Amino acid sequence: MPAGMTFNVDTLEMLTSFETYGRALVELAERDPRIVLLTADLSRSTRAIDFFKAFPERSFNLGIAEQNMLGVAAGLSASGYLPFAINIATFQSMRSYEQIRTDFGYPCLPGVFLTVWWGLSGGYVGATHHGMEDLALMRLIPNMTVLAPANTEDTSAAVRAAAKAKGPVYIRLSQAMDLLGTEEPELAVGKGIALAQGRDLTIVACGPQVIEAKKALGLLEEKKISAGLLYLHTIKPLDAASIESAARATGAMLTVEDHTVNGGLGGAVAETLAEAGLGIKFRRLGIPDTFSPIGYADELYRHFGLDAEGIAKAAEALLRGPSTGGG
Amino acid sequence: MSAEKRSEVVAALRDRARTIRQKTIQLASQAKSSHYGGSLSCVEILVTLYFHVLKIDPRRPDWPERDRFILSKGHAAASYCPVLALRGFFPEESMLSINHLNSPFGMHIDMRKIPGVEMSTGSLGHGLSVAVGMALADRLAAKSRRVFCLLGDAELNEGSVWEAAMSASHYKLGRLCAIVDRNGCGSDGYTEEVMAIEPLEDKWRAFGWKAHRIDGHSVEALLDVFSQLPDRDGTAPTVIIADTVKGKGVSFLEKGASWHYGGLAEEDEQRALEEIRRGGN
Repeated sequence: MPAGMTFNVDTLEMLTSFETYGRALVELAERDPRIVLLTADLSRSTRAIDFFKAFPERSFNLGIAEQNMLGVAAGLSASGYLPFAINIATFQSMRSYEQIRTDFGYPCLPGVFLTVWWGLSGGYVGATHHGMEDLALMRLIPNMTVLAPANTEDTSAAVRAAAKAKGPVYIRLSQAMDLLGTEEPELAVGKGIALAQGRDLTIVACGPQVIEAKKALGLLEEKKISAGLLYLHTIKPLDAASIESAARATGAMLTVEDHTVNGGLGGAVAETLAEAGLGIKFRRLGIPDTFSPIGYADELYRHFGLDAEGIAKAAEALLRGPSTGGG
Repeated sequence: MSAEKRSEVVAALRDRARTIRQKTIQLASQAKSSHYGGSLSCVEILVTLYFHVLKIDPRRPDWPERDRFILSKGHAAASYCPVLALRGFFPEESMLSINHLNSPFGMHIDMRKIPGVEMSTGSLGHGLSVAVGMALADRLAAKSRRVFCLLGDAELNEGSVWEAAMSASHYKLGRLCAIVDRNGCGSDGYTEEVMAIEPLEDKWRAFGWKAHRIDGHSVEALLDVFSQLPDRDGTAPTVIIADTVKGKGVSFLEKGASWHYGGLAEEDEQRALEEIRRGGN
């Protein structure tokens, strides 16, 4: 929050930078009358309020009852509507996990689960509100698509892509404004983007950590390390071909994610490398197997080495470390 | 409905209920084990809905104007699937594969595999939320469809049921009707000993619902209560607490709280079928 400014829940909606996805959703809904939006008493802090004002009859605030919210969403979906549900990542991915798995995944019903405060992005909200397991949990569900776009531009593209999906889609909404300078016209689900080619290692990242990783490339270059950067906005279905070819090209790989190192992007990449028989130098950078402390988001990212300096340091350590078997 | 017509309807529904009880025992035997108790307790409820109340067309399971029924207690598949078959959604023989690899039929129900099933259920506490979503969809689409949802009584221990109950009255879903199969037992025994749920009508009324309590094996009582739906002012959802007997129709399945789940040897299967054949309603 801006220091010295008085604010309350009424002004919160003006202080978030979720406008871009909110606008994308309103534009989609203008063309697609199937789209409805559900929230669990969080419409103002997530900018769902824009949609609520534009389409009051297609907006449902279910109160603080996450399981019911997603069951209701499934009923709307089974009746031909396309529900978008927005919530804090921990509650969306855990409190109503079984509704996502059994009511959406099992019958492959379309529905889009938008989340905020994934990973450490909520900052001082603490471990109760840090959604650091959502990618792993969502990845376990058959028929799911799992997206972690880097910035607001790609978040809007992810929202548009999700509206066309045949099954359920989970999206981490990004508030990062930095542009990646890609030439891709629009994010293609399941297709990684090679943002940089390198000789010594490949950094594989998702979410706004892609922006930090991009900055890390410069820091590594100063140390004569040539790193490639593969942006995997789609955790599921995973772009195994891009991972394998990057691994073969550079022989070392560092995954970077705002998530526990277990089971998310790093876990998925590790499984892919192991099954492809690629025993390269490899490390997962993320939140280690621990609950997160209190802190402002930037402090937390620095603490866990998820900022540009931390990523560069981890990449350097990986290359200097002992070589692994098979290489 | 004239008195004469009504007695015809009642007799026909009772006859259907007897047929469904027999088919339930046969399907359960084919499956080698089943939820006998909770499948037999809701037979009159299912038969009255499917053969008198619901606006449906088995030749067009996706007919957009149809009423929807959600079996939230998905473990009652052993009586529910024979009801769908008898109503004409699929041939009875297709159930012979029950429980075997790739059969559409198993212990619980799958909306993608069984024609007529509106939602895949089995995990308790999900169905009423889905029914609320369907009723909201009907309002949004300006359809006069109705939504019915059958819950188990022990299922009411699930907190999500009460989240759904709260939202149904909040949204004034007068075209939504929940039915509680109040057979008195869950898997571990009597509900009032395991985790008490009474007083039920008071609880539902406090959540903003219109509550009726009836004998869930009385076809007449079921016809009466369903004939009042949707409620005239249309602003409150309705719950029907249907008092039933677990294992209804077979004396040795009705005894105690042991027949939530089990399997019958062939001679007991024959005894059960014979009792149903002889028994009235």
